[in-house]
Amino acid sequence: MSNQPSTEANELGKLLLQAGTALIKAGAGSNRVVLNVMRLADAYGYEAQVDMGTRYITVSLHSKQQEHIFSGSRHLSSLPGSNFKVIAEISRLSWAVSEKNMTVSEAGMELEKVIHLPEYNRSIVLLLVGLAGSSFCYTFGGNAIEMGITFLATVAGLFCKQELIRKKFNPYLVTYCSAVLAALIIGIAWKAGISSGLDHAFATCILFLIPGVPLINSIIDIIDGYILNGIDRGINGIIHAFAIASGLATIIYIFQVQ
Amino acid sequence: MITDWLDILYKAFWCGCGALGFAVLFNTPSRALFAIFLCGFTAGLIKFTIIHPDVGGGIILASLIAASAVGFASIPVSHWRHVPPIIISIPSVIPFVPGSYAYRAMLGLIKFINQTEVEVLTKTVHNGAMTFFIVMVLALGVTLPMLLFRIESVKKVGIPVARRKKDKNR
Repeated sequence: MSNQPSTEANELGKLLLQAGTALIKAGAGSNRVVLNVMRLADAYGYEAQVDMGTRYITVSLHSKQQEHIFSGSRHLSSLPGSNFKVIAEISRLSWAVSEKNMTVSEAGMELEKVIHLPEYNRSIVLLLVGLAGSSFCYTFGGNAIEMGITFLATVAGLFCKQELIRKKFNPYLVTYCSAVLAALIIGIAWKAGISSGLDHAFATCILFLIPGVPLINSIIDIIDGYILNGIDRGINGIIHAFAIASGLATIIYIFQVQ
Repeated sequence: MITDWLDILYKAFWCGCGALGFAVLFNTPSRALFAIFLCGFTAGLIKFTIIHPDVGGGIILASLIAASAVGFASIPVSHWRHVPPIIISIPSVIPFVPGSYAYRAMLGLIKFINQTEVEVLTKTVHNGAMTFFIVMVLALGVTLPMLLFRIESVKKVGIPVARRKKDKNR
């Protein structure tokens, strides 16, 4: 390039890449990522061309006269997780930028804040997800004892999942191990004779592991026409589901549940 | 009759709790949590009412209607709570993920290793098909309204809304 790229465009390009990677990591659908990045660029009078997968994002910036001024790409170290706070706040930021006439560096600072927003307190997450597990047990027809056991199993499984994720194990392995632990607790309760029918507890103790976000995103992406990304997310979801099923199968085999 | 309604109400309440739990697991902004509980509750009410023998709808139809209701509701709710609609709708339909069918399908498959009777196979395939179709219907129900609105909303209504706001500020 003969002409030096302007510093604003450079800064903006980096901001867009950062916002894009944060969105992908947080589990946003492809259309949402592309729209948000384009909206941010549009607010500063640039035109962005975005290409993305679940592990990379490429952004090129043009001025409105079609001059090429920035291009860059980022590689993501892991497959998307789910962090809806980041999705909501970046979406908000992308509107706020044009409404409040923020400068690029202000928006960058704001984005930095959004990415490092605190997560919920771990004990609250454990408690509420445990409650969610036992409520699934109720809706599937379980009684109070089964609900209690499901609560315990879910909390233990989720705790295991959080610990293993912190130690950066393979995500499918994490899912498998958590499913095994959750089902193991039900199995022990069953062998100890706490309750005769633990069908509902077995079926619901692993529901917190269900890859709902990838599966639903997969369909959304396919309908939006991002078919490759949709298949990508769908396969990711299916492998997680398979890991859950294998974990359950392991315990069913060990305990000879009929 | 009243006990039936109470039962539906209880189940709907627990559906709301399930939705709430998943919302927290997905780190949803706290301003959206109550809205998600309400959406989960409403969806539960719709689903269990349709499943009720007096109404007689199947589980797939019930899931589709409940998921579409959540999808449609998520659009005004997302304006109300200032979050993207998907953040409301995904946790709200998670309680309907057919864990029980998936579990029985897996159990049947394991059983089929030793017992090669036709009955085992048909039951397993039936449970597997139910799992697949319910998940599909949930995703479709959530997506369909957003799709219908997206053509109108994000490109035609959504971005002009922001421009209008910008004009107001000027």
